[in-house]
Amino acid sequence: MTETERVEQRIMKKTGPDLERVLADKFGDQLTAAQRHTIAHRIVRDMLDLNTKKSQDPKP
Amino acid sequence: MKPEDIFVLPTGPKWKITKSEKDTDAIYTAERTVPIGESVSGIFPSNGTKTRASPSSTWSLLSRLRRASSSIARLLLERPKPKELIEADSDVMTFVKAALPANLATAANTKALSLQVMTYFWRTMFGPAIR
Repeated sequence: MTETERVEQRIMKKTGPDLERVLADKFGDQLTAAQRHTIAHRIVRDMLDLNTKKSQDPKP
Repeated sequence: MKPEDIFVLPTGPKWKITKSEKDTDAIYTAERTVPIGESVSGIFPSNGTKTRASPSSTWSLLSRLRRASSSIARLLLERPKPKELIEADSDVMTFVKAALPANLATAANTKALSLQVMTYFWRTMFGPAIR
């Protein structure tokens, strides 16, 4: 595992549960726990990808 | 983003502002001569602080840091937030909308959730170290 992958894993571990709580607060029973987990991890994954993309091609 | 965008530097003829750089840090020094016993109103030191005579005429570093941190906190509260903090990024909104089920992916939900996502992400990235 590369250093970048380790950092991403830590970010996922830290931010994923936070976002799951946000989704639970915001949408309550409209989402199941499994859906919250999937959505939160997809968003964090997309944020990491966006961050990588922007850092490789920084434009104002 | 430049330091001047975040912090309000003291202005006026009584203040002498100098800027220097050390490594990647920008250092702003605000100097003003104040008669002993007079109250200072302005930025640094904090409002109402009275000058006093001392053998060295130099304030301790700890004291300076304490004054600076309280002033910076006050300045951050007074300063309008940059638009990056109050407007959701369009790329973030796109994938947040895509991640939500169709019945929940309204414009209002997408915008609100995007702002929360950005806030949590910034805290994670720029907050205390992740273990």
